[in-house]
Amino acid sequence: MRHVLQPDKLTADFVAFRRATFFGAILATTGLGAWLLWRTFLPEGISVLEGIQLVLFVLLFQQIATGFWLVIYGFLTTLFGGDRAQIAHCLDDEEPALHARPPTAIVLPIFNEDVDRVFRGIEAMWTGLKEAGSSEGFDFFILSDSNRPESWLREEMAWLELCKRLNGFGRIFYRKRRTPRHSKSGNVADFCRRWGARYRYMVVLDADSIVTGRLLTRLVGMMERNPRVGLIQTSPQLAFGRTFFRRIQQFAAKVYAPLFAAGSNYWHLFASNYWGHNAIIRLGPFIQYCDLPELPEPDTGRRHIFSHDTVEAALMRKAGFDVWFAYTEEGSYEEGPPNLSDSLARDRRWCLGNLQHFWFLFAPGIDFANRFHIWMGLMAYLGSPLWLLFLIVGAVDLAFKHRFSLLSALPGSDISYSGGAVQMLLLATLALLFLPKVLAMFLAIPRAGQFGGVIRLVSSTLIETAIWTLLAPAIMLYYTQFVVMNLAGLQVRWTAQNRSDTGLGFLESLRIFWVPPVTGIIATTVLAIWAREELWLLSPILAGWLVAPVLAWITSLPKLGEWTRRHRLFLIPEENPHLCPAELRFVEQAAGVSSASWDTPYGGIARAVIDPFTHSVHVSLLRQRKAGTEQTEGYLEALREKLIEEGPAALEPSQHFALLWDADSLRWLHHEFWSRPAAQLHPWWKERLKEVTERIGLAR
Amino acid sequence: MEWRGVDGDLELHVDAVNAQTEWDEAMARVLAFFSTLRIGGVEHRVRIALRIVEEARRRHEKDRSLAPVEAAMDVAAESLDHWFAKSLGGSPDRRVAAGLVALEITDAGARFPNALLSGDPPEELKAMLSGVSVHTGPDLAISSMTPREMDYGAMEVIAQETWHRFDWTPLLRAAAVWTAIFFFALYTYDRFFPQ
Repeated sequence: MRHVLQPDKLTADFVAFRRATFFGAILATTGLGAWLLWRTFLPEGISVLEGIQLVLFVLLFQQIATGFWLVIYGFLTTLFGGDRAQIAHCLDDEEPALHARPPTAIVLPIFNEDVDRVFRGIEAMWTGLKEAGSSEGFDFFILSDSNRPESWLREEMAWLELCKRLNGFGRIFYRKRRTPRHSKSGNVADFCRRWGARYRYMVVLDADSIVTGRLLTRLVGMMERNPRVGLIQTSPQLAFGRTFFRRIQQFAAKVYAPLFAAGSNYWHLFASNYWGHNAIIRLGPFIQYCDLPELPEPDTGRRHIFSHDTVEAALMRKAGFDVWFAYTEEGSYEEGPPNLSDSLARDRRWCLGNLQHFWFLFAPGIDFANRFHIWMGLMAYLGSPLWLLFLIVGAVDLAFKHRFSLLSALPGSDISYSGGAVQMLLLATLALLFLPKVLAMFLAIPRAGQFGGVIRLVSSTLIETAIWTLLAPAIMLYYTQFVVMNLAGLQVRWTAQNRSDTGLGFLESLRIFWVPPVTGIIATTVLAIWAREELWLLSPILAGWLVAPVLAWITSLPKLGEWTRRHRLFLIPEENPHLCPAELRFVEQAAGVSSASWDTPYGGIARAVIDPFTHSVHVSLLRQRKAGTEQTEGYLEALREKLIEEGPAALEPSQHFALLWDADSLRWLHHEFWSRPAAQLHPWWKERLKEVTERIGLAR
Repeated sequence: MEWRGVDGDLELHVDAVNAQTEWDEAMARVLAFFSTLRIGGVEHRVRIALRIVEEARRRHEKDRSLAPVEAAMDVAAESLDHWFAKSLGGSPDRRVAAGLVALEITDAGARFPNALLSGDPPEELKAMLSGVSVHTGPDLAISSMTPREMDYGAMEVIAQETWHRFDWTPLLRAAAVWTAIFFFALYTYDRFFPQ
């Protein structure tokens, strides 16, 4: 039997050995790559362009080397029976039930989400906890920052219906913030200030998160066993993929992510990162030490930290608490973006957040591991402009070399003088990029049946690799745009709409992704004129740019996703009913069952005014407002009169919101709507009245 | 009715038709309102609505400026308020809202389909309704969560001395000019020094 290391028994030597072997390997690989490139430059001395390439290469190659060694160490630890040092080892495998049930809050910050999906997820987790025999002690908090009246009203009704169905009053809470300050992190902090002292732990989820009852219980158990642990991050698996894009993502995450996760745990051990959701947090130290500081950016108006998770992990470590990654624990799920456009919309936000983390890179007191997490986060986006610059400088440099080699009359002055170093470098880079995929696939082969069989596993891996290879150049362009605009302090606009049901239209895809093909055409033309020889070398990138809109369109199609599912391509174990946790099955089976339509224009305000029940629930949940100033009262009076006299289109969304926050105004509106003769109602309200009477069969 | 062709009679006739239309509308409105409450059966709702409209007619007689719909819905709102005052008590401005929510949560409407607005509420119903309270959270337990002073080290010092005084516009202009010069030189070189 292998010797298992308990999390609190790790020695300094053990940690030092692991970090030395991991970072040593990265340094050696980066050094080897840089040396090979330097050798190709050496015969004629290093020019300025070559010097720039060398510096860029070191930065970029260490990124590739880091990914490679993460997988290698992950592969080795997995191959030899799993890491000896991991947080899950503090519990027996079959020890889900807790004897003591410390108060634990499960918090879901939401913002204009798919309401049905959010509440199905809560119901699934609630039921999962009941079935695990540990529901006592867990309370759910839905913390809404939604800024669409429809979302707000619908959330309230869904909450009430859920509580009624599950008898969850007093255990499932819904709170809407009046001022959504500091977005998600502010929402969670607001919870901590109000109710944090009542709970020992807080499980932070995203709106699309599902965590099984068993895992929730085990997470609490791990925290109870290790008082020094401040946070445990789980490894959320992607699920519910319908579009092709989601399916290839969830397949890739299922096959490759375990190795990256195992490799990460190998070096950071008790200094893991936090991803902002699907994690359990010890509330005492979190409240005491982890409120986000302001960034030193006066006069820019962007002082709040946009992406809170990495910083919170760093602050937790700074306060002396451990942060672990429970990467082997099954039962943590989330959904991925349905298409490339939505994925980039998310990256746009993450990019700004990760760039802000730069400030913590050199801050005193930050753990080395956290600095490295921050560095990797930065390079995830900075890598793109650096790659683009590297390609441009490289192409210009090679173009000059070709030009001079053609002009030179000396024999043997061709640029292929490097003695095979270029080829070796190219091969090494390809190996670093693609070997991790091969190793991950190799490890998945014993479980190939769960992925549709060996042939389908291999086919899916090959197709996934080809698609991402073609998508990567376009993503590089957009990441570059995000980085440059964020650094210049400019707002990056990206309007993405979740089209998980219909996919993107081809013309819509062309409208969104016109930049890569235009760049591709210009780059191909420039290369054809000035550096024809480089065309073949850069052809994968040029091809990626040229086909980007088509690929974005194809991968967004749910029909193609369904086709691959029917043919058992990109299959993941959770798609097998026998291997799928009950919580996921519940959410998936209920998908598409939607309550009455709320999506009519101004549906939210209409319901709050017209439907007595929605009106009553909403008014009951509003806090009693103190009498405002004469000016405020006059403003609200003018708004409500305008709403009833001129219809909802006459008011701005913020004005609708102002009325929705005011119980007196809503009561007045409700009374006016029902007690005015139809002839005195604005046509819009008259139409709504007609709908109500028609629905109940009273139309004349 | 015999047509007499007298203007006064015609006006009376039109008034009567209009009045009937207005009371029809009032009746329909009250029925619609009670239907949206999802409480009781049709027969019960019609019975209550008739009573309410009757009371509204009496008020209308006293105050002709009150439109039938308005009068009827005022009576309906008052009836609900009185009934919930007996069932729940509580503050008048939230009583009806709280009562309707409680009815929905407890499914009391299904168990006591004919109780709403029909005399005094049964004791069992009162107990059910008063047992309901809707909260957005448990009792507050306030914590002080404030950010700690963060020392960003040398980078902050450098940034404060440079970044915030940095004007991007001249740099971007210069970059644009030099890029143009570079490509122009490249073009010129290509044009005048052919391979």
